[in-house]
Amino acid sequence: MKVKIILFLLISVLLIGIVFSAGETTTSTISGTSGTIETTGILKQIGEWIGKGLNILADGVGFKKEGEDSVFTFNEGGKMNINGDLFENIKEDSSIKLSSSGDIKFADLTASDDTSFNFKGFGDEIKLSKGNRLVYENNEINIFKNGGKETISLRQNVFDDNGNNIGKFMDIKMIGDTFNIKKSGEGNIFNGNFEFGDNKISGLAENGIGRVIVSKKEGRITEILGGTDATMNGVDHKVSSSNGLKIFYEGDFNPLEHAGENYFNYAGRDKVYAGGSGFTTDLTQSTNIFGDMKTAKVVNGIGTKTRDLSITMNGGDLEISKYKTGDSDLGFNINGKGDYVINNGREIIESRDVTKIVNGKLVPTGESLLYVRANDPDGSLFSYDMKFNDGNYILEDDIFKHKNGAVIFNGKTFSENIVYNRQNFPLTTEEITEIEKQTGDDTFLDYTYNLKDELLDKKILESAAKVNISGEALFSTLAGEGWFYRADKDSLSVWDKYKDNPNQEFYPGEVSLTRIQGFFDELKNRGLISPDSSIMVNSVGTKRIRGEDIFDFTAATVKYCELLVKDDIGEKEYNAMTDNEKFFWVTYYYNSIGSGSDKSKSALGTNALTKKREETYASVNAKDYIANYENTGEYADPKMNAKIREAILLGAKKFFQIIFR
Amino acid sequence: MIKRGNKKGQVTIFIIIAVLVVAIVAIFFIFRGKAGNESSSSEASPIYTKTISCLETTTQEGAKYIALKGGNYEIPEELSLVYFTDEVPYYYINSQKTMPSLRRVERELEKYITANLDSCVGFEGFEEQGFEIKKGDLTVNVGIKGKNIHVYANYPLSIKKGEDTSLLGEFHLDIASNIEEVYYACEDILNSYSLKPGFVCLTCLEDTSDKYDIIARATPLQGRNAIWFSVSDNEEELEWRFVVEE
Repeated sequence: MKVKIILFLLISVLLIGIVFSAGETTTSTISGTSGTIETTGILKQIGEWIGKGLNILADGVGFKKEGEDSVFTFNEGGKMNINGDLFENIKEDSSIKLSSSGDIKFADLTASDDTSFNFKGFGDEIKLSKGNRLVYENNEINIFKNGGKETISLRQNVFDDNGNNIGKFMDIKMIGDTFNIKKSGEGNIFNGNFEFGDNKISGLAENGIGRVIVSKKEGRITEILGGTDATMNGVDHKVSSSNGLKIFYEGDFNPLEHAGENYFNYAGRDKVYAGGSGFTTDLTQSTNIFGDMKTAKVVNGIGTKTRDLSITMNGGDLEISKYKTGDSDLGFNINGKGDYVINNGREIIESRDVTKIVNGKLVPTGESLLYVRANDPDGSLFSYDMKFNDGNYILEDDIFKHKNGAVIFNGKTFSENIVYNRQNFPLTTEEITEIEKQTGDDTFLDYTYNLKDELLDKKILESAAKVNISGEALFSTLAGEGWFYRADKDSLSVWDKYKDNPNQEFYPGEVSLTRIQGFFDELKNRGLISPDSSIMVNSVGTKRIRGEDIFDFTAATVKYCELLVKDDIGEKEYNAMTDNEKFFWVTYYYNSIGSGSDKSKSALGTNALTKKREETYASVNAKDYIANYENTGEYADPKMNAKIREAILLGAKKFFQIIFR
Repeated sequence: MIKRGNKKGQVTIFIIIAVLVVAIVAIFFIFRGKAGNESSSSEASPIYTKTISCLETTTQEGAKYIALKGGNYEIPEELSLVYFTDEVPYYYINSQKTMPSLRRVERELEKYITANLDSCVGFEGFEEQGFEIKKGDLTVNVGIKGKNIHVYANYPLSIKKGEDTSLLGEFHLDIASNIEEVYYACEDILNSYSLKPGFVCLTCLEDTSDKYDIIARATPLQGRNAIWFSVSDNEEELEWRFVVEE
């Protein structure tokens, strides 16, 4: 009998085991305040031990009571099913604390393999890769990369009327080691440095973290919290305000309804509203907003330049919409009030409210002042055209004009002004006459003939840049050499000959091969011309310079003269000179070279002006000159050498006056 | 009772007074054009005419010259910036305003006139025509007020031709000019700049342009935080330049 009973019990246990192993669950009764459920691969019902009527199963876990709560510690291969949600692939020593009502109060789970956890009470399902660690407590989830993959998937649970979960998984790529989610109204706050979709979130401060609120329904950012740098679809928002920045997507957005808030709205591709304070939005890459926005532009005669567009709100409201400029480029209408800053890379335009004191308090007058400053010292950028304040002020080609056409602010560089003025302001007859009168010859009239010659500008600027001299220095030197001069309108200047025939050779036969070669070698030795340069071409008994290389050759020579001056008087002394003095001495040395003095011999020009200067001032160099005159006070006298200086600079001066009209 | 003899005496007195008044008026009109000259004759009149004409021309040129140099005849070297070939004074640097006072501008214009009047008159040419000219020290006083430049020049000139010697001394002129308005416009621009150094206030420039009827332009100088201002009167006859640097 005893044997039968034992056999019956064994069979019963076996059958029960088979039944529950098929459903991977079994019923089990545990008692006491702690214990262990061995890992069998079969989940056991432990709901009643946790709280009345609960459906919670476990396998391979240790358990203990902490007051009303139940704490489970996972063993290897351990898993739990909590209210229908399976927690498996969990590394040993992970733990979950359940309340007596079966809600998860705390969880510290490290994935032993790719897995997902659904925190129903929290409202989200999270997929983790092997190694990732998740800590849940007080409606907050922290995820640690912990050796796992950097990408996690999150589904914010959203249910339709039929109870179907219509939430979609979004992949979140952790940039740092942690990612945090907190509940917030209709969405979640995502904290950390991470990317998802077309968004990249990081902290503003070094080692800081970014924070955004993401709506559950659409899964898109609705607010960027203070201290965050958030790039959304190419639009970069840097938010410092503790009030954050609300993002609106509505097409019928009315900024008046959001007074006092920090807001940014775009809908469609033509208009942006921004208001409030404490944030900067960079639209440079915002192709989703202004689809035809091009950040680079080919500027005639100058080359390709890049562009920028950002706004900083300091307590104002701004509306930006686009318009087509004359050359079908993109321009922006800017209408705003209050305090804001627009940075187009090239200029910073700032609007400031005018305030007055009323009853001891500062109150806005409703009027704004518009300021501008240049922000591109090397002139490598280019600005979008813009119209401000209902078109009262127009920024066009880096020049601010009033709507009546009066120029207020000319933000162009020297080189750009050359091109701009050539294109827009041909010389008048009076100016030509005046130049002839003042310069005594018509050397500078060549500019009249080359007014629209962008290629010339480009060549000069490029050659000057190669040896780090200014474009104006090379321009003036070439002009002094008569490069643009032609005796009458029916003949061709050197430039005219060259530009249509780049292989035209110059100075043939005028200067001996030895002299040119010697000077050419000197330029090479100084590194001013590439050792592989083929500027010089062989001809019968002479060396010649190809037309297309003449600007490089002249630029190198000017640079060489600058180095000679420095050698003679010392770099410190040179640097202490005014620009005027530097220009004088470099030009002086340049002419000395041409005269055949003890400097290397030049193949360069011997026009009438140069000769005249040389005859008068041939045998001095800067060092001697200073040695002779430094004690007389004349050297420091700005009037000293007035005639020399004037002779050299007069032509250039007239030219500059024309340029900066 | 009234006596007839007394009445006749009164008429005589009236006639004498009338004659005196007429004489004084006549003398006034006769000598009005030569006011200030100690003595003059028709022999000196070409030199007088040329001098007064040159005073006008030199003042006008001087106004333009010093305007281009920001109100200076010679810009203090430590306060100047050479922009390409133009020497322009700083009006704001190291957080300090360095604009010259209007009084100083008047002094600078006086210097210009003093230095350049002679070359305009060309006394050598007159000497070739037989004039003997002895020149005293030229002193010039300039006052800029409203739409005028008031010029007073004390230039003792002893002019001898043949047996006749004439003396010329004082020259007065009022020359129409917008220099004061341009000056105060520059001061306005400088003040608005100093409130927010580094920036050009477009709105303020427009207000200043309307207020003083001037044309104001700003050009940032590449490679440094300096801005070059050019302020012209509406006819663009007078251009005032200065530089500010943050």
